Parts: sequence; structure tokens; C-alpha cells
Amino acid sequence: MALQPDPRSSSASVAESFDHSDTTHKRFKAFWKKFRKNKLAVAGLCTLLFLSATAILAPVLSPYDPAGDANDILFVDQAPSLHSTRQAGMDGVERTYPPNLFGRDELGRDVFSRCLHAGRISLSIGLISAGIAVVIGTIVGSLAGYFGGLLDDLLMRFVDAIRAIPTFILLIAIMSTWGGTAVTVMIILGLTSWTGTSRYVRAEFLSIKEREYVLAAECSGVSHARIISRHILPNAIGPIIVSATMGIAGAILSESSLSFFGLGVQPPTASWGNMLMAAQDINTMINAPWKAIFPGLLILVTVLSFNFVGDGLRDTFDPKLKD
Amino acid sequence: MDTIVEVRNLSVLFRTEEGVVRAVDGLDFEIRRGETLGIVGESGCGKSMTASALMGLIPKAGEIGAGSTILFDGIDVVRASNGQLRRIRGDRAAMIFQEPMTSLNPVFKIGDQIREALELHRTMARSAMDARVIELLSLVGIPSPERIAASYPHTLSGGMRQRVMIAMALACDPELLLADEPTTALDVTIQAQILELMKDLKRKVNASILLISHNMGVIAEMCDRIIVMYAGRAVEEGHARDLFADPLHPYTEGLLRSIPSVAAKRERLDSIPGMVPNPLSMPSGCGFAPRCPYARPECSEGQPGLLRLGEGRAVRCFLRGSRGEERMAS
Repeated sequence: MALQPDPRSSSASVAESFDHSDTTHKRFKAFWKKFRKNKLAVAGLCTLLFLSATAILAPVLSPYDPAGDANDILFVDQAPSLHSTRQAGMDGVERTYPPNLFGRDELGRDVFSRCLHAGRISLSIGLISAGIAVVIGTIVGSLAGYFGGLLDDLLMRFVDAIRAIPTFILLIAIMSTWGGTAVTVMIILGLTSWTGTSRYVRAEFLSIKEREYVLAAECSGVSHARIISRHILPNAIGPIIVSATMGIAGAILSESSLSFFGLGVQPPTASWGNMLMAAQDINTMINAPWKAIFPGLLILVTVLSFNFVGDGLRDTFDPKLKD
Repeated sequence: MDTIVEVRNLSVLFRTEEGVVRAVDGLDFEIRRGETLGIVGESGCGKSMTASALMGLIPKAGEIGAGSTILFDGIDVVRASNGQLRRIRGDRAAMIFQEPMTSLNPVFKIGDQIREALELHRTMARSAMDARVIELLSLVGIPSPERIAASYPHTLSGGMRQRVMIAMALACDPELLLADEPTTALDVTIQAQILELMKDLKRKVNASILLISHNMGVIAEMCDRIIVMYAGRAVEEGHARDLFADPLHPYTEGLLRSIPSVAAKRERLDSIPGMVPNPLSMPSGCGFAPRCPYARPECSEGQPGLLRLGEGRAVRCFLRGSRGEERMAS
């Protein structure tokens, strides 16, 4: 029985002994190894990284001004093309027009440039409203799950009440009074979509607070706030991240649906949803389908990718599915 | 002051829909400084609940009965505020748990978990804390403590984790260590090592220990004094040597007989017939009467009182002394 302090444990070696970067790195590697097995999730992640990059670089990548310019009127509903054209503009000066990869819309604006800029709006609506929802849902869920009793009843009945209202009707009502800007859409979507997360988090807390290490923490004199934030929350992070990923997809879809009804982000600001909305007439369907196909495809690919990544994360966080 | 903990008439109640369950019923004891007190009994006899009550941490559904007093070095634990209790927990009184596999938080590194108690109760520089963590880990016999401090619990074996748990409990030099079945989840060789370690540590830090176990062997090995509990009550008390040499209560006798022995060649293990009574329908008389080989008619009529016999011995049984309805005051 080595009761004597180990002579190697001189205080000089203490400093480097607490350098945890190595184990963190290992943990990430193990996580990545498991995540990598899910090919769909990896494909989704790559797609999302690519789409995010194009959204961030939209001003650099866009060949045209997404809001249009004076010469657009010459090219209304032009089909997609891979070649640049050279012709005189409204002012009679001849200039070169870069190729319109996704064609032009009913006002002659370049659909490709609009899709890139719309990606910024749609992705940030997804991220920020899911962020708001996760923060509220986590706070409500952890308070309800940890303290239980009357507080739990009150919070969860409030959640039930909110869920009893058809979200979309509520959204339409609020949006038609507040008016659609990207910011109001983010806030409203965030404020109405946290209930699912709060239930997941509550369920996690209910099970984790019974674990012995929580009791052990209580026995060391740790306060409730610290037990919630430092001891339980990190153990519940898996479901929170998963519901956040799914929430992003849901928010992008909701924004698109709102825009489709003309209640989302208002033109001329482009979002994938309002581009679809602008393309919902019979003339477009027959003569200029690219106005609907490209933003629709982008919504589809983004939402699918987020869902694949969410599924992959859920599998990775599930300890029962070992390698 | 000679005693660190004084418990008087402690009851822990659970109000259920079918009635009131008394998990602990009128328990009196004290723990002296530097002493190891053992509480022994079957599952559900209230021994763990007693430890939780000492920490002020009984489950939400339960309550401490009126008239119960728990004094920790003069502080009334039953009536103390949460903040007051938090300052005691982990600092002056610490607990070691039964399940080393689940008592460490999987997302914290060992070093961070041990340091937490220091962060809460001590003001010292981070480097001093880290040095203390390493010191504690070497104290409980963990090889290469620097490496262990930086690793996660899942990389450690059960015995190592129990050592870590003990190191955590010792972080602030507690005056009282509550060990709730500290070796039950470990295999025998590790069990022996951990018990040896706890004995050594006690000599070094001179803490009082409350050891809770259902294992008579562990209790015999470790304790100065022993309380035997049955169905929420103390049925016998005494110094370890006396109690093992001359058990006064039939239940204690049964417990001692059911220790397997290598020397005596027997076909079957001795066991106490019957089951612990349902806490919702306690027999009106002595709780042990239905299982007691010596039971007499009066045993199922009245509740025997705790008879103090001097030299720290006490027994709750009609067979010892005359009808002990009136409780002999301590």
C-alpha cells in the first residue's frame, strides 16, 4: 500500500500535469471516429460546410447585385446559361454580362446571386432562432427537471399550453401584426419552438439528477446552480445538440413556409422562402421553372443535411452504440 | 469537546398514500472524535437514511420527524439553513459512496473533481490546489497521480475509482467521514486494500468515521463501537469486541451466525428465516418477533425499550431485563 506521497509528484511537475489538451484531442478523435461511420451525416456535414462557405462569401461569389440593376429589364426570365453575353445596356454602352448559372427572374435579377445572398438570411434565421429556442428550452427544461414539484408542474403545463396552440397559425398572426424582417422572423421562430427542447432537457435532468455523482456533488457542498450547470448539463449535452440541429432545419422550413404566404422576410431582401413565393405562378411553372427549382433545391438539401447531421450526432452521443 | 456528532431521537418519515413509513425511528447515538462507529443491518433497515440525515440530505419525499435533533459539533443540522449545511458538507463532513462506478461524474477529469471541494471551501491559488490534488491522490495510493488527475473516470478500475472517491472526501481534511457501504461494490482483494487504506488514513488525519455496512466482517475489521439496526430502530449497541463476543439481541446473534466460516464445515449457510417486516404494516410488538427463535407471547404485544447496560452496551429485547416498556433514559 503506497501511502507515502510518490516522490515523483513534486510540485514542479504539477503545472504540465494539468495540461488537458492531449485528452481533449483524443476525445474529439474518438468522437470523430464514431461520427465518421455514418456516411450520410458526413455528407450532410460537408454540404453544410460548403453552403455556409458560399453564404459567407456571397458578396465575393455573386456575379450580380442580388437586388438587381438598371439593365436587368433587358433579360427578364432568361434561362440559365453557362456563357457570358456581350450586348449594349439601357444606356447604350456595350458591356459583358457574366453567365447566369441559375437563370434570371421576372425582374431580370440573377437567380444565382440571389440564392447566395438568400443563403445568408435563411441559414442565419435557422441558426439564431434555433439558438434562442435551445437557450430557452434548456433553461426551462433544466429548472423543471432539477427542482421538480410545483415548479415542474407550472413550467410543463405552460409548455403544454403553448404546444396546444397550432404554431403556424400563431406565427401567421404574429407575423402579420409585426411585419416580416429577418430579425423578427428569427425572434418569433425562436420564441415559439423551444418547447420540444425543454421536454428533452427535462427528461435528461430527471434521469441524471438521480445519479450518484450528483448526490456526491451535493455532499461536497456544491450549490444547486453549480450542480445544474457544471454537473448535470454537460452530461445532457448530446440531446441538446441534436435538438438544436433539428431545430435549425425546422426553422429554415418555417421561414420558407411563412415567406411562401408572404409573411416572412419581405422582398427585395432575398430568402429561399420568398424566392419560392415569388415563383408560384403558372407562367413560372411553364416558362421559367429555374426560379422555383434552385431555391427549392437549396431548402431541400439544407434541411436534409441538418437532419442527417442531427441523426449522426444522436447516434454518436448514444453510449449504447459503441463503435 | 469530546463528541463530534450527537443524534437524539432521530426519525425519518415518508408519508405515502398507504400510510407513514418510518425509515428511521427514534435513533440515539453519538460519535466521538477519532472514533469509528459502525452501523450494521439488512437492506432497508434505515442505515443509509441515517447517513443522509446527518448530511442534511434526506430525499425530498421524506422528512425528519419532530423532536429529532442532530448536532454536528454544536450545529443543529435539522434546523440549519441550506447555506450553513453547504459550508459543512465536503469541508467538515464528507461522504464516501457505495458505487465507485457511478459516483464520479463521467464528464469531469479526476483532478477537476477532487479540486471542486477545494474550490468551494478553501481560498488558495490554483497551483496550490493542483499540488493538493496530486498529494491526495498519492495519499490514497494511486500510482502516477499526475497522469490519473488528467484522465477521465471511465479509464479507471473500480478500486481506483473508490480511491479517488476517498481522495475527494479527504480533500478538505474533514472531521467526520461518512462511509456508506464503501467496499460493497468491490471484489474482496480490493475491499481489503480499501479497508486497510481507510484505517491508515484514520490514523493519519484523526477523523471520526461512521461506517455503514451490512457486512459483519467489514464492521469487525474497522469499528470501535457498533450499532445494530433493524427496521429503523437500534436493537443493540456496544463496543465491537463485546458485541462480537457476546451478542445480546437475537438478531445480532443471527447476523453473526450467518457469517460464512471456513473452519466450520457446514452443508448450508445459516440464515435468519423470514423477511424484514413491511414498513407499512409493522408488527405491533417487537419488529423482530416474527423471525425470532426465542419469541414469547409478550414480544408481539408491546414494543421493547432500549435497555442501557453500562459500558456503552444497550439492547432492545424483552429477553434481557424485565418488561422494558419504560425506556431507560441515557
